[in-house]
Amino acid sequence: MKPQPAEEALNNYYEMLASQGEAKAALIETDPSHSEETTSLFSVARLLWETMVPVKPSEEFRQGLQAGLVAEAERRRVQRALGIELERKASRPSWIVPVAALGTASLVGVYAFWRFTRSPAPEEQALAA
Amino acid sequence: MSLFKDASESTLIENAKTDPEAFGELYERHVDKIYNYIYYRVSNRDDAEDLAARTFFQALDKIDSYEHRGAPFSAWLYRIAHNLVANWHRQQSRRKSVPLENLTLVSTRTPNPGNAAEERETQEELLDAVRRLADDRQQLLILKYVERLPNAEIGRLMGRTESSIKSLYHRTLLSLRDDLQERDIA
Repeated sequence: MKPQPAEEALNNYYEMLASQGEAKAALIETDPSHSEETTSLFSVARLLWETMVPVKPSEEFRQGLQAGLVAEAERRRVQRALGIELERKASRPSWIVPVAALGTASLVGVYAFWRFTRSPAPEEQALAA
Repeated sequence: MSLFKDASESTLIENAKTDPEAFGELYERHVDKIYNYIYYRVSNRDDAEDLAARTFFQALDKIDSYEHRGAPFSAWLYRIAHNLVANWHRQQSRRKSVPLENLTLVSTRTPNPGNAAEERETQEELLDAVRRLADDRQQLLILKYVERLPNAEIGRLMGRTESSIKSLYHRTLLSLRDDLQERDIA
């Protein structure tokens, strides 16, 4: 049988470990078609499989951290909402006052212009005479 | 039950920017894998918990600017965790005395009292050798052996192709074997 390239053989060996367990994978280890070099890598893979097992954080830690994160996210949400409201209130005079002032000034200006440029009414001319 | 229990990842991320409950669900989905990653990088529970907490608080800080572009959200979390772990290692090396509490090793085999101590020692040597590997190689081994992810998924998380993950795995085992052989372990 033609030997598999080492990369393929290693991946097949891992798949066998993961799906069929160590006993089945051991059959690959003893397969004479693999080179000594590849077989030595199988041993390392098996050692990793036995050693690197999933660990779980304690439930107390998991729940404590979740509560802390949710509380912090809530604090930020409220702060953001308040910030927008305060900003809205704080920004009101900054544009209302100049606009109001300009509006008033222009009204006064228009009136004054009208008042001093209009020609006098006939009754007013008669009175003046 | 959380409103977001069945939400897709992209929906969850968008909601997590404004809704604390959605962020809580994102945390729930990812905390174990991030904790595992950090645990195998730093070797003790206290620091793993501290760094996992910092990872998620940083994620909360930055989630507003996170854009979901198809890459798994966990890839982003792993990057944050990776940077924190790197800083932690720098600080440890500056302090000189590294208070490494050995991992509580759990063998998948039925324990044999006769060689349990020897087996444990071998596993500790192996984990020391894993920690001497380059960061990307350590990450690959954690994703493959601890998370039990297929190569394609590991590729997505690490931003590589499936075939480059296969070759990286091969090279990683080669250097691990050489390191162990130098120490008369394998």
